Amino acid sequence: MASLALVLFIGLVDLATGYEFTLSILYLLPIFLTTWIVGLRAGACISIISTVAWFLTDLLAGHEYSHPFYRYWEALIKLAIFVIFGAMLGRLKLALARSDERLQRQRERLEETAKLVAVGEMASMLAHQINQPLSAVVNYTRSCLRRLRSGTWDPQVLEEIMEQASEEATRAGAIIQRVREFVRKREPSRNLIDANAMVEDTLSLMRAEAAKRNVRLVFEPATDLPKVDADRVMVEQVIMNLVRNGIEAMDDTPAGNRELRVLTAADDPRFVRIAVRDHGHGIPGDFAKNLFQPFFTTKREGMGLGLSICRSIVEFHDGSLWASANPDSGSTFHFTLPVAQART
Amino acid sequence: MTPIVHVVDDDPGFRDSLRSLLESDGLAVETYADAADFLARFLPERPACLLLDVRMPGMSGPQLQEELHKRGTRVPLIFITAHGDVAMAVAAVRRGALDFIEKPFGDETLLGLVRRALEIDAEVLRMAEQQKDLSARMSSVSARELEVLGRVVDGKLNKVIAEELGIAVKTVEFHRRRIMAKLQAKTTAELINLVVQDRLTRRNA
Repeated sequence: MASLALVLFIGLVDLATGYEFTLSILYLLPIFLTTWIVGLRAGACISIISTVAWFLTDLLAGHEYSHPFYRYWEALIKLAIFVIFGAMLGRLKLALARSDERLQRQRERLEETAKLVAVGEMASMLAHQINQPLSAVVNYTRSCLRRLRSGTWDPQVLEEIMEQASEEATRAGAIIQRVREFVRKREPSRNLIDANAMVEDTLSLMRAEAAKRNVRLVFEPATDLPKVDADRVMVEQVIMNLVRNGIEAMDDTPAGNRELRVLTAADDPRFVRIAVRDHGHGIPGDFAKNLFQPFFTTKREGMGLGLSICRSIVEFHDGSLWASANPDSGSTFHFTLPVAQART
Repeated sequence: MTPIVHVVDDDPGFRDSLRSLLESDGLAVETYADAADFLARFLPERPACLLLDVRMPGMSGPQLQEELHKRGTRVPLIFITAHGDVAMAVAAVRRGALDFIEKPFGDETLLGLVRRALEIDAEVLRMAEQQKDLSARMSSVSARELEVLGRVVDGKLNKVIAEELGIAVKTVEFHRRRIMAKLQAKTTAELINLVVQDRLTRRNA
């Protein structure tokens, strides 16, 4: 409504000032406002109304043309300019909205990653916190046993010690309770997913980290890959974890050979396989069987949860996760996701 | 003097459980909630050892170790670590801590370590006492006697010493007897041993 009033106002002013003092450029203002706030269609309407308003003021102001056709030509040009302006504005708004959405998604994904990192840190802190009362319980009970074995004991002292031991054990229980509340299971949501796009997206998040460690990330997408039925956020965590492991495994590899290759394949019609191949130190034979055990780690700072969580996620999707040694150097981690069944 | 075990740990439950365990073995125990409290109350005059938590708010275990070192306070240190602190504990041992023990630990392991630490400290204390005693005796030896003593330690005969100092052999013998009495040495070998010990202490000081 305001735009209409504005159009009318500009028309009247334009009329008052006469055709030689043209104000037609000002019509862009209501067009801009309407397109931006209301939408493309409303903007187009205002464009047409503006053109009509211009045409009428031009006519009423008594603008003479050497040929009457020129007035229509002028109006047509004005209309074209208004509409093109509106359309471009619409595109711009759409692009902005899309990048907003992308940013939002990226932020969500980062939060999810942060949560996984936080789980690792929390596990380590938790181990420390539970260790504390647990060690106290061990000390108290040992103290009791020693007193009992010594043959001379004061029942009151023993009672006190046992009292304290049970208090410490209760404390350990309370800590575990708190954690349980913290990590309430997130309901997975499975969707039809293009594995190539998912890998591509995940790798784009890892590029900075790879570059920092002089690792080249290479992606070899398979063509005609069927879609998979998966919880995207969860599977992205698996890819991230495997890529990060691969990058870290190449710390001692000469910089020129630090290449991490990720590929997708559909070598079994029922599954899509995603493989992450590094040129790192490989997996010593005796570690292979413990690789996916929780709390098994060869990293100084690791808790040994990454691969075990990955395997849980993949198995939750009815896929499998395994590792193989490369013929030249390093290792490859593969996991499969079942191809989405045609929905009936 | 009865030995004492000092425990510095910020966790009250763990601290008290350690006290209970150590007391079950008949040991005297003193506990502190933080490093500052320990520094304020610790008196290094009886055989002692310090059970020290690596991670504490305020001054950490290794920081307390450094502070003690700076103050020249002698006390054997046993670090108590949790999973993940082992690297820190190893570094602490390299800087002179007696040992470290990882939580949770067996009672025998801990008590064995503590007993060893107390023995070491008692021995160190005894030696320090001896040295103090020796340097007191040494300072009662007169300047002239020191001249004689130096030559005795060099293995010179009384006759040679007398010639070098321009005194009678009898006088040298007299000085020697007085030195032996002052340093409470029964034989010349013992005398030489004491002097060598004293020189070593002075050099180390």
